[in-house]
Amino acid sequence: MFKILSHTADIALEVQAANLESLFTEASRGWKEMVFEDSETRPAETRSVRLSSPEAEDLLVQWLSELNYFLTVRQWVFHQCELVSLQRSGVMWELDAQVSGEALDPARHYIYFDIKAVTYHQLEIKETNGGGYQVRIVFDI
Amino acid sequence: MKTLTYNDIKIEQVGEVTWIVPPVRGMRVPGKIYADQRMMEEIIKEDESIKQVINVAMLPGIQKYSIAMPDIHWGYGFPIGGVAATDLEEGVISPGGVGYDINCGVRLVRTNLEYADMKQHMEKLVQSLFKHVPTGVGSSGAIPKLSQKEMTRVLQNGSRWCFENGFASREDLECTEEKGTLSSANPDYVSERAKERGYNQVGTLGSGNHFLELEMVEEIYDAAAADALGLFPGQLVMMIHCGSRGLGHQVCEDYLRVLTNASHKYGIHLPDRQLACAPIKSDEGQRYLGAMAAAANFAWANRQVIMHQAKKSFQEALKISDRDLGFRLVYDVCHNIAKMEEHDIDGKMKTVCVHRKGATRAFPPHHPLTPEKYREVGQPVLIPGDMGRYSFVAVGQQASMLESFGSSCHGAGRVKSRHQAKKDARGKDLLDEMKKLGVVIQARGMATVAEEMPSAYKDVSRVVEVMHQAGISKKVAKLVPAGVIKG
Repeated sequence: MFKILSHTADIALEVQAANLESLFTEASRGWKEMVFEDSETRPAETRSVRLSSPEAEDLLVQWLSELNYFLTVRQWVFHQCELVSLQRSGVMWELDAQVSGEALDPARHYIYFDIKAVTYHQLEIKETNGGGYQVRIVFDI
Repeated sequence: MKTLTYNDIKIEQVGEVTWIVPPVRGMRVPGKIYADQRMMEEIIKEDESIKQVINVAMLPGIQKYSIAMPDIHWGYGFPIGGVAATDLEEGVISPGGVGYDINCGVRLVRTNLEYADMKQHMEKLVQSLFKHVPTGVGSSGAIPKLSQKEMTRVLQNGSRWCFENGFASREDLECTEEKGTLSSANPDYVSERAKERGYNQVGTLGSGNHFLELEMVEEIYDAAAADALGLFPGQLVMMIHCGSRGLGHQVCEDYLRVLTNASHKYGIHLPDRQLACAPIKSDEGQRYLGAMAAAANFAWANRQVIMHQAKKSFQEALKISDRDLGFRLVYDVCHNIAKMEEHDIDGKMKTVCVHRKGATRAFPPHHPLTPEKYREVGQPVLIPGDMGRYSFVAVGQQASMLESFGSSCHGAGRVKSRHQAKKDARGKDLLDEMKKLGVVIQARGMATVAEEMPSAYKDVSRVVEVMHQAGISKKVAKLVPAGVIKG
């Protein structure tokens, strides 16, 4: 579950999920809705993403930055996560994901918000009382 | 003189437009905020930017004051409109004091043309600019994609690369802050991913609040300074606002990670993770400084190539000779940067690292770094407003060296979120609304136009007035928009 929150000079996502894998998946859904609103996207092609970091929060920044990189540099539109695995290996958090998407088509994909950076502003993944997780991510636009 | 309260802290007015936050809760120096009383009350009420002035004052090695300009608003780590100088031995460097868009800045170009004669050609001119200057998300292809070798040269040499490749004149370099090149740049410290984001982006505007605007000089406040800058009433001028594009953002992102680890390593307590920093003389600090300078050079090359493309647009649309067009750079300033500069610290001149985040260098007359042609009037300070009202040209004054580490304000600041601005714009013909204000717009998407409508911004004239009153920068001219291209 995610919610898009609007600030004066930027935009934020509030994400809740039952486990960390779902938190990352939900965050990617939120990112897509923020950027493309209701533009139709298709799973024409699958890509692998492998990331690691000593901190889960930093991994989340890297994860969303990767989707942004696909769009702004590779001109490739993220459709959805097909698979996410997240685990701690020694001191590092490791993420393995398969994401589907397609080449950017300006006729169909309208970019509603240009995310310039995923920030660390007050970024903290918190455990909720019900045993799930929540996080608030602020984006520079 | 008034006293206002922010979270139990007494903020004292010490001058008509100057307020002091006393050093409390771990602050190493006091905070100093430039604002009139009404603005100050709004700042206290509106957001958390004063808290950020306080946080910055806690940075190791900070000198004299944590300063905020009248366009202060909440940013990541430092407030936007924040200025801090740190000691080279004891102090730190923080990417949060520079911002994501390294060397975001403003360039003003004058022409020999009068708006009254050009009004009828405005649509054609705007279309031509839109054709030659790529705008919008991931915009690319203004010039052929850079090779790896060329990218290294751009990062090393900035505007000088433009000069060597026919995109700049010698005069352009003279009229650019630092002559458009920070020699401390080290392209090896810029990641491959950052370079990848930049190969195709030299000469592109991007999106968000970046723009290229045709403007008319509506009012002159200081005839001698306007004359030195080559400005006259009714003149058509062009303003460019943009920065280092994806490359600069990636450098900031990369080094926030490096400097977060460095903060732990060097035992620096951070009140906010976005204030991640490292000692200036540490390896991590030096690497960030080298990469930041390279990104700054990239931004100068970007604005210079945009100017080159714009000249081509004018010539194509108007079929005009170089001499009749008179396309000359007035000045180019950066407002997101950290630089080594000499300043008076307790009566002694000392080199310090000045962080300016949403603040413009404003060196006074006779300062050795003020270009010779402006030596008698002061370095030009360019302050964009919003696309419906006005922007300003000012010149640096003596008080800036004594009071604000040679810095002035940088712009208006938002008053409405982009989301809200878009909601408010639904069902409206924004282009028609702007046309009624006398402004022709061409943009890649209407969303950006909606985000940037004048009602989304504060009135920049109040900000400029405060700096004028403080003796930091003196008003020279008011510019009103006539044509805009955006992402």
